[in-house]
Amino acid sequence: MVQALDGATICALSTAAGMGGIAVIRVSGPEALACVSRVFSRSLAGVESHRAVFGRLRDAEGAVLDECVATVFRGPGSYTGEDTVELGVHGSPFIQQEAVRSLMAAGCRHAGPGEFTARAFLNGRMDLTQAEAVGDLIAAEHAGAHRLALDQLRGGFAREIRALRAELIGFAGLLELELDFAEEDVEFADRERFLALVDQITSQTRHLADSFRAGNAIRNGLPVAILGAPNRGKSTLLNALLGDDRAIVSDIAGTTRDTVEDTCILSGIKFRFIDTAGLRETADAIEAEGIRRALSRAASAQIVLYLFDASTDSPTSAAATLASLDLPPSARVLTVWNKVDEAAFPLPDPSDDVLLLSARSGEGLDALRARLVALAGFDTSGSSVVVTNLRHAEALRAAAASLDAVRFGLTSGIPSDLVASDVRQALHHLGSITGEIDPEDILDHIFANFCIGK
Amino acid sequence: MIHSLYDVIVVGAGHAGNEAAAAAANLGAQTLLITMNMGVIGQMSCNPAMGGIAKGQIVREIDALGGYSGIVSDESAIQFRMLNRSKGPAMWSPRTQNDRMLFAQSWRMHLESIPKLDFMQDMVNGLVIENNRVSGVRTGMGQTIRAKAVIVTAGTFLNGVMHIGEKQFGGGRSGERAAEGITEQLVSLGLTADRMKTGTPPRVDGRSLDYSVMEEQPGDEQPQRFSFLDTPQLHQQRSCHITYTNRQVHDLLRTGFDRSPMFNGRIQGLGPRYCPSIEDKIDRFADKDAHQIFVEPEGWNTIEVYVNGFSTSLPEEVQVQALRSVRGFEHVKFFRPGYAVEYDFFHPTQLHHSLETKAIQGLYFAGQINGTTGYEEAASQGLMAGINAARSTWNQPPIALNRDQAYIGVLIDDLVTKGTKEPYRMFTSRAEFRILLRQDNADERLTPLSEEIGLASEIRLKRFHEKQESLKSLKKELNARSVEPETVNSFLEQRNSEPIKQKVRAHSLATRPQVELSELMEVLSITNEHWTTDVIQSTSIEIKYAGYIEKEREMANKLKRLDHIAIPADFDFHAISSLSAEAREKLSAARPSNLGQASRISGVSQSDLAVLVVRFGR
Repeated sequence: MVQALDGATICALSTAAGMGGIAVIRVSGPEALACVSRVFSRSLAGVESHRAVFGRLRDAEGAVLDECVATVFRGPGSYTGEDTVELGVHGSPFIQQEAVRSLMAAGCRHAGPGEFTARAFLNGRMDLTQAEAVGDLIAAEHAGAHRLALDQLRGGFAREIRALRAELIGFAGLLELELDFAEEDVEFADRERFLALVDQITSQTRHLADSFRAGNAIRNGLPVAILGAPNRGKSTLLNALLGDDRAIVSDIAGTTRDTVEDTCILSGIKFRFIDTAGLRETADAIEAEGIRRALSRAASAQIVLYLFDASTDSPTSAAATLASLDLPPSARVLTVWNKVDEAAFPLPDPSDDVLLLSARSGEGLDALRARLVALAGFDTSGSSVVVTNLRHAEALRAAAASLDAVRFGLTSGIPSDLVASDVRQALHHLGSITGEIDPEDILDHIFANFCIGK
Repeated sequence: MIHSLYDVIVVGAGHAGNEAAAAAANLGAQTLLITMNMGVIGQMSCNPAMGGIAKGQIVREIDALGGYSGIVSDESAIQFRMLNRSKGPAMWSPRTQNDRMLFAQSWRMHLESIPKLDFMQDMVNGLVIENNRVSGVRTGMGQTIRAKAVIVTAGTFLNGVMHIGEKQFGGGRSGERAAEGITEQLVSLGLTADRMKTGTPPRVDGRSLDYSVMEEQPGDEQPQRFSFLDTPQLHQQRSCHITYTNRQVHDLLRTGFDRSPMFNGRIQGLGPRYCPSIEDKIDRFADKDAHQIFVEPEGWNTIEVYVNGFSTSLPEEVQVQALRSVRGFEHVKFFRPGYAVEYDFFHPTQLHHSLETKAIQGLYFAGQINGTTGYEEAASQGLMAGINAARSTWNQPPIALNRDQAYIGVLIDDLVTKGTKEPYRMFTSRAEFRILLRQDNADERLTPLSEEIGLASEIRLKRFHEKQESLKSLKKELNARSVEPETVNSFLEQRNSEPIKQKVRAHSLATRPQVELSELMEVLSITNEHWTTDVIQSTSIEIKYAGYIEKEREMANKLKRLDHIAIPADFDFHAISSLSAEAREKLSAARPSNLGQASRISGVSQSDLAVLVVRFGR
């Protein structure tokens, strides 16, 4: 946000994210008109303030993305006090994401939380007495964005990014070691090891950036795995959610031998449900394979629905089952009690993570749907999961570019203090996702691993 | 003669105190330097060396600003090495091995030649403070001496306690007593003090060592100097030697662990991680069979030797036994054992960037009292405190160096905004803009400022302007000189650099990594007596690394915008509810004077910073 002062042109979705009729993407800054003109079928250069023009928006690859309305507000008479363009696009999350990506490719930076408001304030568009209110708003948006980032980072990303950070700090430490402690009696890593490390870190970074790039959750649906012991009604629940007989349902335990997937759209968000084979000890080779696949699918899910049967499972045995499971730590696990209309034991209290329903009668299904939508993060108005993704992707791509410079430096005989400056750049970019990295982190790493000190 | 009213009083005559006194007096302030013992002015309490990685850059900066550490080091040098020469230009770090006695002598001679500087031998045991403003000092002999500003540079002397094995005795340095009273008084006035510890190795008789089994470490073949002035050039040098500990040494040392106060917890103070005692090293890195020991001569003529790398507080007999198992030390005779010292320091977050305490106007701290370690770190703070104390007496605004301007700026900003949990030592990795903060351009970075504040001597300015002229004329020549393929291609081929097909400027050839500028100039017969080795080196760096230098400059300028957003001194951070609770606490404690400083305080998040930008940004 410090960036609010960098004079860049910024863009962001400014209506609530998710599936809506129309979404507005706001672009503000000295290059606002020029940036939009680069991806719009008409030039905005001659358009007067407060006028709207109709045209076609292209995506980052140059293909037509959507037909939309661009409204021009010239500074200082705009909300932010800067030249501003508001693009009204169709409200699909996919179009929103691609439009923002296209604008970023055309030279915009993604706006920080509350940055439009901050700029409005800094440009004198608001009264000083409003400063406090603006501060509250920014803090709130940060909190929202942070929560979203965490939600987004489920499904293994958080872990991978943490691992990446640790590796980069380790690498920086190795490099700095031979700079600051050249006189010490420690062993320095050789160039080959540096190169291998850089290659590994670069490919991890690219892999992460690419996985964000597609906006997987938007394009392919947010993965939700349905797990549970056999015959707890997993397939029935899936069918109830999907509204057709997609999975084979029978009363014979172990009917679903492979995973079954399908998608449905709830409140404008695409979910990809994964029905899995029941989890139990089995001697049947095919079923065992199904169970293996079930667990491996669950590992990629962002949300796990773990089913119990209220007519046969006791809350005590359920707790024991859950405790014994090796579920992916990154996924959010919801405990779902099915067949509550036939409950044999006192039911647990429902909560955010404990849902009571009957897949057959449909009771409690709406609550489950609402909970899924909420977990997807689209309930936070003003901020958008899509964009959080993009921001991370941009940061990762910039980090990868710095790492390319590191590799070039290492192979072309550039002294390591200069190479280290590119490593710092990479850390800086990664820091915009994980929190800043203090030089002290690198020194800590060195002192923890090497015997320093004459 | 002792005046009844001074502008500035400096308490302590170590590296910090001497620089402070010299700077204040040279700026024109009537200054008094008080030391407990006139016999040990400018004492090197630890190893007999100046500079090294990051520290050598600081010495060059002190010199460029008009301090004396570089001059004194050059005058007392017995060996010069440019460390890290195989690395890039940001890492080149000058280091001298010094004659300990000559060093102190040279300091004293320079101080005595400063007209406005008085000396006094006494112990200061209290400050005169009225209405949160310092107005003088009280001494052990019962005198009260008035001053407008007081700089305390007490080193390890504030309630210093030394430990050797189970023995402990009061004192700030071997054979010298501790200073009492100041800490207690300042704590009663609301400042927070804590304890730190540091260790020093044994000093031994060089005649009892067998150097023939050690590895020799000679000085550079072409020794350079710290100072940008005309200090003496080294012609002959003394070597250091390297030897190693071994398993047997480690086993012997372990027998004394339960009696090592550094180790058994008797010393509670905060110790450094990078300069551990030998007992710490063998304990923490138990799988390492040998640790390096540098055998450093203490001077030209003395037989005394400093055993660098063997810092310890073990009982003396354990030290002797263990060291006797080190190769070359079989018959070692001790002059004095290693010891640990524990002392008071004041958390440096209680200081302004001028090094003036926030609580008491006119009171400045410099050196180990601020939680730092190292001669260079101390001297640079002394210099800045001396400058700012003198300026304050004329109501001039304080001088604070930026992080992209000097390591001294990084040092003071780190101390004041972040504080420290261990004795703070400078590393190049602490600087964001290492490529800008090189030893070769310290004069370019700081001498103009020194001129502006009136500290640089005439001869310094003359040398500075001459060098700048030479740099300019060489650059001009390289830009103007057009080179024919036949003149240079055989040289380029020799250097594995692609031959040229048509005429090019000499400048563009100098950008090539394989082409050494000095050699290129030889091939092209570009000579001029003003283009000295220094000038050629600086020019070569500026040409070869222009891209990296430019990139760091841009980053620095970007971050600078935040430094330009001021926060009023009396601002109540608790009044901003949108700041996180942690940020409110940290900001209230650190009282940053601008947003740049606020951004470097741990616990102040991007969100908090955004709120501050909005509050103060307009």
